[in-house]
Amino acid sequence: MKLKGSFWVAAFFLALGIFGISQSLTFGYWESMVLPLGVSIVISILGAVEVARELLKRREAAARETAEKSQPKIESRRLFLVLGWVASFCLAVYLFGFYIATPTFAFAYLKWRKRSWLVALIFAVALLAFSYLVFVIGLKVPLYKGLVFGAR
Amino acid sequence: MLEAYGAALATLFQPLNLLIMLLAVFAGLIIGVIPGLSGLVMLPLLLPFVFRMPAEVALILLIAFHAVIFTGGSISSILLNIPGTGPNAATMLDGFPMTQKGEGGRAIGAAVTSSMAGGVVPAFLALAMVPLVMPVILAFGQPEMAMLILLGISFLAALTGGSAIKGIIAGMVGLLISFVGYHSITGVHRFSFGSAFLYDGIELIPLALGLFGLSELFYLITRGETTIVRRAAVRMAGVVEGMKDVWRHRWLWFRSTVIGYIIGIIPGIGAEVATWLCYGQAKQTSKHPEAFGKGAVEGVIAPESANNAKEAGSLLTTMALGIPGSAVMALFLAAFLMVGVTPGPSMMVEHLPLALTLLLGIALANIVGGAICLFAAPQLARVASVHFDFLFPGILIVAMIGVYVATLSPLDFATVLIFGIVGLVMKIYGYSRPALLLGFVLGGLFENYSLLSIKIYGPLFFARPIPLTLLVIMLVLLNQRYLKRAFSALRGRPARP
Repeated sequence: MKLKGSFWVAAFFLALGIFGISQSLTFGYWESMVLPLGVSIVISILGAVEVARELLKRREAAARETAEKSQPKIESRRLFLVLGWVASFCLAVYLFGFYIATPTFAFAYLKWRKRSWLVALIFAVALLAFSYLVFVIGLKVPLYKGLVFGAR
Repeated sequence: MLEAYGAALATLFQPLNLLIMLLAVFAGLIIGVIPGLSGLVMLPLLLPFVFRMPAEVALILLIAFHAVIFTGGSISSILLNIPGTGPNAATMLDGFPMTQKGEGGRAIGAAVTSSMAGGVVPAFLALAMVPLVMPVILAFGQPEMAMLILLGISFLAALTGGSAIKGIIAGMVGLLISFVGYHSITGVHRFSFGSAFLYDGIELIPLALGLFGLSELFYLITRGETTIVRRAAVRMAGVVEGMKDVWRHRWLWFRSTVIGYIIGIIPGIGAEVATWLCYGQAKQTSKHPEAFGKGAVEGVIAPESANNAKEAGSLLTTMALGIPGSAVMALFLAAFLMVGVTPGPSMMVEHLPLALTLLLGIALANIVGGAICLFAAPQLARVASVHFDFLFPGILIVAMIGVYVATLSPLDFATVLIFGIVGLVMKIYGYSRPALLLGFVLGGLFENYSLLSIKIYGPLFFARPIPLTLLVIMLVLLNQRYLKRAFSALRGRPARP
């Protein structure tokens, strides 16, 4: 029996609730324990209800069809590609800072989207100039320079 | 009270505030025109820019930006047949056929005038209501506040997610996340796992940006709704005729405005409901219902009056009770807290002039936005032809720089990414993101009010008239589906002996 994504999401929340309970019990004072514990118990109970509902739903073909229709369709391949781009950008900023990551990312993304060299280059430079003007000159906030260039 | 109104006017008309408002209105109109981008995507992006500003400047900027988004959205609905924002979809039904008939200018004139007037009048209605709600608000103490926060989460949980259970899970997860870090009363580090990064808890701006801004971008891209390449080259004519149309149908405009305002006051009912409801009543009461869908100007006036009218009502509920009626208002609530203003009864006592300034700000932003649209609608419509290939890296880069500016911690890039994925999963599987945000934002206050209430009144602190009433409302709200079934069964019993 193949389980759907909605089951795994509910199961995640159930696990989160149980984890919250186990952690809350270690907080010592009642003031620091009472609300995290109460909230975790509610998450666990409602998570268990959702898991049970998902399991029961699988036995009702009609209900399953309705649920599937109500969930918006997304394209997994495109999602992972976009996630990859965002994660790469975050990592590039962390390592090399905004001055290098911003134009490189903008240029590479536009080239990947099959834009011309000139358009990609102009856009990358324009974005860097915009960021510099708004943040460094306008708001007087220095941009992060990246681990490689000595930022901590 | 009169002094507060005077102070509000004086604050709003300061040159800096007026300039900020003008810029925000312009930005809001542009964002409104671009299909796919809404207040939900762009408001989190603005948070890092405003958190260091004085409270009134920051909030005027945000409210002016949001107040005109639907006005901008009407332009792409009418000229391009693409709704700029969700609530503009109803406008499209008659607005675009009008453009096809060569009456685009008239439709724009009618839409913008009804939007503008529909945004101004409810703001004054809300201003007039403030003295009426004050006595109720002043009766609230710690137990009442704790229950009010739970009620707010329940409202969003029940009305903005796939089901009440999923909504409550989301709200509780938000509360749980708010407990991460150092507990000021006992000094215990909770859910920190020995990480110095988590000692101060999760930051609001990366969480909000990830949960709404980034996840909406992911969603748009993965659904392929990203290519808006059509050029809008429509001659601007007949705008004055459209303005006259609003006067000709002034009762329709008035009805739609009042309906929109009332829907705005009630938490959880979206602008979409307001616009479709008003479109429906316009068709029902029209002498020519057969003309609807084929370019009837009433079909433009009714939804456009309603969508802007809703905002003043929503803002009043958010400020006076601390209950945000929508995802955007939950973001506003976060913004209020970020600039040091706690929405709810205390705001109406301690920051009354600010509350009045914002309501007046909605009115003024609508006037300014309307005027810009009337003169520059065709130019604004061209913005909708910007391709998402350029928007995605642009928004992502500005968002990440904004996060760094707000937190000065590069590790928060990971926070944005994680909550971007969490937000996407929640959106896909029907878990309410606004409820999570509200739980997170109000978690600290909820804990303080609850602990104080327990210490003063004991564990049964909610056994007082107002908290009990709020508890009953909350239980009814969360079980409305089952209660409806029970009532139907009771009603049906005599018929089926």
